[in-house]
Amino acid sequence: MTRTRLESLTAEALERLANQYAVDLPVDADRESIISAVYEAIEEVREERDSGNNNAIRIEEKKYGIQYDEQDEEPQEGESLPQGYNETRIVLVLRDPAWAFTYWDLKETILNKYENDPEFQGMLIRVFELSEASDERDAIMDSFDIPVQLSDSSWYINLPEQDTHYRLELVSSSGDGDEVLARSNIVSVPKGFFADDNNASFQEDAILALSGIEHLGVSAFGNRVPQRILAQLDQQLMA
Amino acid sequence: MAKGYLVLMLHAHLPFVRHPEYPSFLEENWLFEAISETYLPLLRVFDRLEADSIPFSICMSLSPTLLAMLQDDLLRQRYVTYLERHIELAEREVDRVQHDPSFEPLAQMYRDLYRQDLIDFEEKYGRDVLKGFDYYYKKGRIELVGAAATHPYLPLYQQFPVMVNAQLQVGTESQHAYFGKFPSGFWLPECGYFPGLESHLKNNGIRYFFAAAHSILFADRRPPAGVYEPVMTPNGTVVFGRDIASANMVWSSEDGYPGDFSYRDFYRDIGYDLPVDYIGPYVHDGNIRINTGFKYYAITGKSDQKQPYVPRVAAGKAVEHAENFIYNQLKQISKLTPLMKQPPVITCPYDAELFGHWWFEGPAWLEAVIRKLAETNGELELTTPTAFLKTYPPTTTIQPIYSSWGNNGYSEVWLDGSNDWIYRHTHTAIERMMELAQRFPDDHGLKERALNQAAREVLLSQASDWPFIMHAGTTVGYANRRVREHVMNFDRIYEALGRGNIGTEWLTQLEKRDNIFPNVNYRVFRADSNPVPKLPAQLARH
Repeated sequence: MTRTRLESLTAEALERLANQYAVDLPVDADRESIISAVYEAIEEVREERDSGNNNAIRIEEKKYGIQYDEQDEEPQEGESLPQGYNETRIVLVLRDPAWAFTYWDLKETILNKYENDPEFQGMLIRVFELSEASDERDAIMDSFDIPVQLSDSSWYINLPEQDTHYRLELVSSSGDGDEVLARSNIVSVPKGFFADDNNASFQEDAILALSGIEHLGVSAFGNRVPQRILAQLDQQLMA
Repeated sequence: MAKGYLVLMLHAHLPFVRHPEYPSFLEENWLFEAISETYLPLLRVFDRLEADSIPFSICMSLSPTLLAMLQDDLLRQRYVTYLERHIELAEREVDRVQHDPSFEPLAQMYRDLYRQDLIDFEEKYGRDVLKGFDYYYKKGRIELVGAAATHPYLPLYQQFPVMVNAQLQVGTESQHAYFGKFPSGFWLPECGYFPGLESHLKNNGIRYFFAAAHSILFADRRPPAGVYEPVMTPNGTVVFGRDIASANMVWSSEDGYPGDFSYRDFYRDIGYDLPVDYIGPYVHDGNIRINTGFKYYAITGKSDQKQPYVPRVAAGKAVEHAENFIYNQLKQISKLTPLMKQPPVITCPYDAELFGHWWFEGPAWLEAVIRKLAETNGELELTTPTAFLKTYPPTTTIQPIYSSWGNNGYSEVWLDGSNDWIYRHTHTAIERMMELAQRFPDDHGLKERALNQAAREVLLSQASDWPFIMHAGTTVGYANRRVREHVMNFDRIYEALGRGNIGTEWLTQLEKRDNIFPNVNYRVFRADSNPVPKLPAQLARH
C-alpha cells in the first residue's frame, strides 16, 4: 500500500485498515496523522514479512509485483464460502517437522446437541504418535490432548517428535465420558536433519561440506552437523 | 569428456488469469509483463546463440496454465493492446526527456524494446510465442519438462492421490496437446515433494524430477555424492537435487549478482514518479499508480538517491558476472572431482521470470554464461537431465523427504494464518469431485459438460499462487476472490447435478470464462481411473 493510495481512501476505509493493522490512534487524530500511522504499520508488517522470506520466495513475489494496492474486499452477500460442510470430520495436514495444521467440522445436529447439553464438558483434539502409518491400535506409541472450544474449527499442533507418524481424534467430553467423533488421516513426519552416518567416508563428508549446507536455509531439528563435517566446511571456506 | 556438467532449468509459470467479463483486467498484466520482459527476450537469446552457432542445452518447463494463456486469442489480443499502449507511452517519453542525456537513451531503449516485442509477437510468431519454444524443443536445444495442471503445492494434497494424479495427467496431456510429446521430466510446483509422489510421476511416464537440496541431503540415508549426482527414489524415478551454492549467487538480491549497483532498479518506476495528470492514461483506472515497466534508475545503493541507469555499464557487468559464475562452478568441480567416481553435475533451477522481469539483465547474463561455457573447451558442459542420465545412470537409491524450496524448507509459505482457510474448501471440493466422477461414470451431453467444468474449477482452485499471494500480502483480495469463486462455481455445479437441474446459460458463460483445458475429462477424478497417459510413453519420447 503506497502513501498515495492511502491518501485516496475514505475515512471508513482508513479506519478499517487501522483496525486491521492494530494501529492505536488518539481520538482527535487528524486525517494526515491517521494516514502516516497506517502507512508505518503496513510498512512494518511488509518489512517483517520480507525478512522472513528466502531468495526463492522473494523472487517469486516479483511475478505478482504490479504494486497495485487493492483493498481486501469483503465478499458480497452470497459470495461467501460456508463455515463448514455439515459433516463431522477432522483432517491433519503436515506443515513442517515441528508443526501440523488441523481443521474439523461438526454436523449441525451434533453442534446443537452439545450447545444445549448441560453434561457437555468440552471438545478436545487427541494427538496420537504412531510407530508406523497404520490405523492399528498397536501402532500407538503415545498420545496427548489439546482442549479446544466448541467454536474452534482449526488449530496448529506443535509436534513433539520427528521421524515418526501422527493421527488425530476429535473427541467430545461429557459426564458419560469421552466420545470419539472423528479420526483424521495419518501424517508422516520427516526427521528434518541429515541421516546419522558414522560410517560415512572422508569423501562423503567432504562433499556434504561442499554442498552449501551453511546456506540451506532449512529449519533444523534434532542433531547438529557432526564436528567432522564442520571441520571440513571450515577448510573449504578457508581454501 | 567434460570434468563437470551444468543443468540449467528454467521454470516458467503464471496462474491462469483471464477475465473476458471486463474490458481490461489489471492482473492480466502479469502475463503481458512476462512475455515482454522474459519470454521474448529469452527467445532472442536463443536466436542469437543459434545465429552464432553456439551450442546450448537447457531444460525448461512451461506450466499448463501458462501454455493455456499463451494460446488464448483474447489474451493475445489484449497483449497487442498492451504493447500499443506501451509504445505510445514510450513515444511520449522520448518527447518528454528529449535533450536529457541520461534519460533520452533510456526512453528510446524502451520504445525500441516494445516495438521489437510487437514485431516479434505479431510477425515472427503470428501471436504464438510458443512456436519459438517449440522450434528449439524440436531442435533438441530445449528439453521441456512437464508441470502440474494448475501448479498446486502438492504436499498439502498428499492425502488425495486421485487429485495428485489428475494434476499430473492433465498437466502432461496439455504439454502433449501443444508440443506433440509427453515429457519425461517433471517440475514439481515450488519443488514441493512428499514421499510417494514418485509413484504418481512414474504412472504418468515421468523418469526424473527436481527437488530441494535437503530433500536429498536429509533422506533416510545420505547420498554419497550429495546433490552432485542424481539419485533414484525407491521406484526407480530419478531426482536431481538443487545446488544451493550456485543458486545463491544468482538468487540473492543482496549478495547475488542481481543486486549489483549497476543493474536496473526494479522498484523505481515512472508509474510512481511522474504526475498523475501525465501518467494517468497508463496506470490503473486513470489514477491508481502501478508499475508501468519504464524504469530509469540503477540500483545505485541502499538509499533512495538513485543514479540514472546506464545500459552499457550494466551489460558489461552481466558479462563479468557470467565469467564469475563459470569460474566458481569450475572451482567447485575441481574440489568435487577427486571426491567422486564420476563427473559432478550441478543442477541450477530458476524461476524463468527472474530473468528479465525482475533481473532486467538476466537474459544477457544467461547468454553470456552460455557463450563463455562454449569457450571452456568442454571442461564444464551444459547438459540436460536426459543426456546426463544416458551416460551416467544413477546407482544410489534413497527416499527423499517432504520438502520445498520455500521459507525454511517446508510448507510454511502455503500454510499459515493468512491462507490456511482455503484447504477446508479445496479438500472438500476434491472429495465431492471424486464423488461426482463415481456417481456419473459415463455421462454425456450437458451433464458431461457440467462435470468437465466442475473438474476445471476444482483444478483452478488449487493453484499455489493464491495461498502464496495471501502469504506475501500483495494482491490478497484477488487471490481470496479466485479461491472463493472456483470453489463456489464447483459447489453450484455439484448441487445442480444433485438436483438434476443445470442452468445451461450460466454453464456456458462459465465455460467461456474459465476455458482452460478444453479436453479435460472429468473421469480423471475416478478413484479407478487409469493414470497412464493415453499414448504409450515409450513412443512419445525424444
